[in-house]
Amino acid sequence: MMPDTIPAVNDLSPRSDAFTLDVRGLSKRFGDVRAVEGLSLRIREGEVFGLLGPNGAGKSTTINLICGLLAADAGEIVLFGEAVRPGAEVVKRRLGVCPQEIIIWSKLTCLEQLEFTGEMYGLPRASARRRGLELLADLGLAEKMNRLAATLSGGMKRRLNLALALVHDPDFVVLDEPEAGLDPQSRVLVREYIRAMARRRTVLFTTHNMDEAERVCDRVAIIDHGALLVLDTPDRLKQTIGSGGILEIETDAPETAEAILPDLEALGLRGVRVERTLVVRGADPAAALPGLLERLRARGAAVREVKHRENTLEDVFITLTGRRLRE
Amino acid sequence: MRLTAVFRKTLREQMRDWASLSMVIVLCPFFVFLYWLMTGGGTTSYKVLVINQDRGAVVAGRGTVAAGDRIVEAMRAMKYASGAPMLRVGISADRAAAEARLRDRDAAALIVLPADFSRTLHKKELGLDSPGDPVIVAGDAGNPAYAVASVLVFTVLDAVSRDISGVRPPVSLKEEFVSGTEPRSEFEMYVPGLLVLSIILLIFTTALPLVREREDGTLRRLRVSRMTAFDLLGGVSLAQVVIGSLAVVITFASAALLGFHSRGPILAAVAVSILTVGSVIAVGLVTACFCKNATAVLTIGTLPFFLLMWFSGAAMPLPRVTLFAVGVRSFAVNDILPPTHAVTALNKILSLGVGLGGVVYELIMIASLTAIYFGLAVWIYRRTQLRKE
Repeated sequence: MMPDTIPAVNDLSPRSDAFTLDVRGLSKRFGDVRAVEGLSLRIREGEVFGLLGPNGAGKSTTINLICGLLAADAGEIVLFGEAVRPGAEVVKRRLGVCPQEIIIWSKLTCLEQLEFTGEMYGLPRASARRRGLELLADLGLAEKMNRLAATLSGGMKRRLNLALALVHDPDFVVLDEPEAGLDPQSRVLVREYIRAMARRRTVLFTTHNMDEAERVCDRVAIIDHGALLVLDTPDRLKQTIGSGGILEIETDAPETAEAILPDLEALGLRGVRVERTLVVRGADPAAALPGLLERLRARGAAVREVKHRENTLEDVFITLTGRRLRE
Repeated sequence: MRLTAVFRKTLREQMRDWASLSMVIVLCPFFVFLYWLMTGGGTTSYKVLVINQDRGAVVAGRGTVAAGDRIVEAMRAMKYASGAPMLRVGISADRAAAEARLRDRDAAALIVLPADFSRTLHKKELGLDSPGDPVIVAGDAGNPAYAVASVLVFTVLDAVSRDISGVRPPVSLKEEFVSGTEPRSEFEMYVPGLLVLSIILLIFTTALPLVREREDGTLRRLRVSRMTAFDLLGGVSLAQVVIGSLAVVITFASAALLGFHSRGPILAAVAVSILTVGSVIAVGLVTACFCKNATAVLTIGTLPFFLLMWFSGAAMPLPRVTLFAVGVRSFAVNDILPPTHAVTALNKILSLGVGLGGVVYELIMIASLTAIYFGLAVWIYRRTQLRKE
């Protein structure tokens, strides 16, 4: 079944200096694989911007292009009004990157590596130390300042990974899956920290956790196969696929069950099949549930599980692509 | 300053990696100690077997002369300056068994003194022409110990024969040493080579921290910072120089404790060694540019390691293949290897007794090659490790 189409809401007016980041027509290939294809987006100063997409959608490649770690095949990246070129000063001065993987020096203590990283960004040693101490306190690692990084728990290493991106006090912070691998307590702490720092700086972060994106982001862009699908606030994106709830009906005969999808329009509903599940949305899908179950039973498709939930960003992606984000 | 930050960080990491640190610090002194043990506490005594068939000769007024016994006594009396014997003499009766020991390298040489040895010498003393049966000196031509032992045996045979027969050689020979001093013990002669050989091992310990930055992904974090290739390579090099210099000082100290003494100023030798540490580190940096992981360091690194070890003369003396000459200086292919000049300079200081003034050319060459290799490493590292992909 063809997915619904939703027009991208993306501000691409000529003035770029009002934006922290202005990406135009960005493309990158690795051999025959198109990692990023004609991507254009703008991020406003002070906003928390989410880049969403499934694994392999091109999120990390986009981040590496923005950070100057990869050279683009085509397109332009403008950061704080300056074009990002090899060795661009604006990247080294104003950008902080928290990679998806934990990248720390295991034989240095928490404070030592913050000091070292600060110095690598040109901070005087004393300033780097002061800033390191602040960050360790903010991220709940003050007591671990003299512990070797190798001895920290996974969640602590994640927080240290984040601190290393912020030690030089960048104006623009890029966080690649910052909540991956965090325990619930650390997740809340990091989420609050991201919201707090967004008052003073622009934040771009990638995730495939829709809850996380809805809670933290001012705007989100959903990309797939390296191309932008939609870009807007979480609420407006959800509104574009209609208000109301979502019914998920899992059956043991998905191909047979799919045959009822054309009947939904008559009930004021729309739906797609994702693997073994029919995802039905509409103003009040719960009211239509008895009728739907009857139709499935009539076609011989036994129902395994039914879920009723609120509309999420994941539904936007499902509507656009017919796939789940985590596929 | 970013370079000093990298230096402090590398030194900290190295100090916390006790296994690799102790390898660097302890390896060279351990080699020196091992060689000291193998050379019998600093000197090598060569085992020779003697089959003494000499029946002696009765000389009027002197009684019985046993020249064979005199040869054996003279060989046992040959001593190094330390008092250690040069030859360990074993008496044998069975030639077949003695030759079997030569083949097993259990002995360096076999001397067979014939039955008429004393009588032949006495006839010479009387001016009679009587060649007699030959003295046989046998050995394995492929055994380097035979070359040394046979020279010592010939010296004894010559001296004792002349003493008994009174026959003088047609010309007199006088041996003089370049240093104008007494010969060095074998242990002392090999210390400079051992030291340089151990310094060459720094290729691996220099390349590994750089490759680890790439393997652990931390290089990615550094690439988005203001750090340059010069900062990273310079900082890592400084840390390795500190560690390598410490190893050099400990090596000289342990060699001195084991009886090594330098003819020239020891501080000059330490200075040359530390400069050599820097040059080998620069070669290690170039090696790191071509390695993606620690395994590659251990495989790719063997190429510069063996080049420096074999073609610099650190392992054994090599003939010089001169490419061109400028004035009194000739340039050979292996002059592009810094340890070539280090071996020459250390031999001059430690064995010939010259000071820093006598090794200025070598110092300039080591320093220049260090700068060239370091510059090359920075250039390659920037293009291979820090460029955009």
